[in-house]
Amino acid sequence: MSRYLGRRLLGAVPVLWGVVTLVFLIIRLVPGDALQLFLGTQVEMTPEQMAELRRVFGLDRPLWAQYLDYLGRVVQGDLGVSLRTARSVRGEIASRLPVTVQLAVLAVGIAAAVAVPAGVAAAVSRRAWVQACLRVAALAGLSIPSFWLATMLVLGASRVGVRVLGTYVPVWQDPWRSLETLLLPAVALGTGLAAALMRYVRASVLEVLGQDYVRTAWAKGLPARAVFRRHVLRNALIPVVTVAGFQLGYLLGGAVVVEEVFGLPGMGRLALGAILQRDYAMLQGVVLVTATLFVLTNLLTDLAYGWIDPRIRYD
Amino acid sequence: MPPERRWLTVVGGAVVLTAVVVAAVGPALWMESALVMRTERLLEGPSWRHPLGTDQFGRDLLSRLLVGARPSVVVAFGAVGCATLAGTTVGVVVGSVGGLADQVAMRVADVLFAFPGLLLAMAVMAVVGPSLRNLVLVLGLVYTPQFMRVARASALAVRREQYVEAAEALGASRWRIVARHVAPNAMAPVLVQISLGLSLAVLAESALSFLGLGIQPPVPSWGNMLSEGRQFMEIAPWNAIAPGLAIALVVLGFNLLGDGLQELLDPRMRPEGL
Repeated sequence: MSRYLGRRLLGAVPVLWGVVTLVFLIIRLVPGDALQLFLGTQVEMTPEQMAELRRVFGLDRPLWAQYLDYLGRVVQGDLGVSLRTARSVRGEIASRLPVTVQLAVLAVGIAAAVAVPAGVAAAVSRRAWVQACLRVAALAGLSIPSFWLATMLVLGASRVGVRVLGTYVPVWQDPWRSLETLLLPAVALGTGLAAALMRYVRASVLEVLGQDYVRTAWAKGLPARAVFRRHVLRNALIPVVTVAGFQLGYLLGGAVVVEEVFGLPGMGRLALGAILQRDYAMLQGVVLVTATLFVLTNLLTDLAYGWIDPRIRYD
Repeated sequence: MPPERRWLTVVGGAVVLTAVVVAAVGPALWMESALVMRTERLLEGPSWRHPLGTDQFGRDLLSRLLVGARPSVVVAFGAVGCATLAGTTVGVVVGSVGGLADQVAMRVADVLFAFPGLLLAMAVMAVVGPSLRNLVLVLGLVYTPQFMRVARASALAVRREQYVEAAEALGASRWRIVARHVAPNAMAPVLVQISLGLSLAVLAESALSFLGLGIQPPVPSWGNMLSEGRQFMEIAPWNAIAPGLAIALVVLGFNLLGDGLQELLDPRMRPEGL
C-alpha cells in the first residue's frame, strides 16, 4: 500500500508540473502587451515609467528566466502578491478556500443523500410510475443550469419571506447560521450532481443484483433487508464513491456561478474578481491551487476506493 | 429499445432540430426586433403583443430569446466540432500507433483534465477576450481531452479485432489501417460523447455569458439575458425565468438524444436506463 501511495504521488508530479506550466503560459497568451492590458486605457504613463514597471514585475527578462523563477517560487509555496491589493495571494486563497470546501462538501452530501435512495428505488422498483417519475427527475436535474436554479431559489425564498443572501459565517463560529447561508447554494449545486449520481447508483445496483454472491445470499434464506444492506448496497456503492469524489474535486472550481448568485466569498468569486480586475497574479494562484486540489482529491478518491474494497490490491 | 424510450429519443431530436432552426432563422420568426428599446413599455408582463413580456429597456423578450438561441447553438456545435476533430484524430492515431506518442498525448490530456473545465475556460477567456470565436476555440480546447480519451480507448479495442489483423497480414500500410479500418469502427463511443459534449457546451456557454465572459450585451444570449433579468427579478421574474427554461430545454434535448444514441449504438452499454 505504501509503495502504491508513493508511486501514485510520484505519478502526480508530472501532472502538477504541467499544470504550473500551463498556468504560467495562459497569462503569456495575452495578445500584445500584458502590462498595458493590466493597466487598462485609463492610465497614462511615460515609456520610462512603463520600463520601470516592467522591471519591477520581472517582465523585462527572457521568458525562460521568468518561467524558472515562477516555478521556483511556486515549489516553495510562494504564489506572489495581488497586483491590486498587494496582499499575499496565498493568504487571500487561504481565507476563501474554507467557504468553497464547505459548500462543495454540503452539495455532494445532499446529492448523495438524495441519489442513493432514489437510485436504489429506480433499480429495484417494479412500479412503472416510480420508474417514470425517477427518470424524468434525473433528466430534469441534469438539464437545469445550476445558476438558473440558484436564481429561482433566491426568487422563491424572497417570495416566502426567507432571507437567503446573508453574510457568510464560518461553520466553526456558528454552525447553524453557517448552514443557513450555505443550504440553498448547496441545493442549487447538488441537484445536478444528484441526478448524475443517481444514474450511477441505479446502474451499479442493477449490476450487483445479478452477481452470484447475491443469488447465494437469497438462496441461503437471508431476509431481504440483510441481503440489501450487507451484500447489495455495500458492493454497489463502491464505484459510486469514485464519482462522488470526482464531483467534490470538480466543485472546488466549478461552483463559481452559484457562489456569484448567492454572494458567497469563495474561490470561484475570488477568480471572477481577479478576472474583472485583471489581477493576473491572483488568477494564476487560484487556478493553480484549484487544479492541484482537484488532482489531490482524485488521488485520495482512488486510495479510498482501495480501502473500501479489499478486493482491489495495488501491486 | 422500448417504445417509450424511442419516443423520448425522437422528442430529444426534435428539440435539438428546433433549436438549430431557430438559431438559423430565429429573428425572422417574430416581427419585433431584439434590440429596439421602447421606454413606454419597460418590464411589461406577458401580453398578446409581447408573449414573454419586455425587459428593462423595453425590448421584446420573445425576440431576444429567439435571437439568443444563435450563440448557444453556434458555440455548442463549433466547440464540440473542434474538440471532436482534434481529440478524435489524435486519440485514434495515438491509440493505433502506441509508443511514445501515446504516452505524451495522454500526459497532456491528464494536465488539461486537472483543471475544472469552467475555471479553465474562464481563465483563458479572461486573457484572450470575450468573443464568439474565442468561446468556440476555448471550449473546444476544454473538451478536447475527453474526446482524446474516448477515441483512444475505442481505437485500442478495435486494434485487436481480427479484421485489423487481416489487413496487417495483407500488407496494408499502417496509415491505411488507421484510416480505413480502425477509425471508422472506433466512432460509436465518439458519437455518444458528441451529444454529451453538446449539452455540456450549451451549459458552459450560458455560464460564461452569465458571468460576463462570453457573449457581450446588447447582443442577446441566454446566459447574459439571465444575468440581466436577475437584477429585476422581484418586479419582473419572467426576465429571469424564460432564458433559463430555454437553456434547460435544449440541454434536455441533447441529453435525450445522447441516451437514445448510446442505446442504439451499443445495447450492452445501456445509459443506466433513466
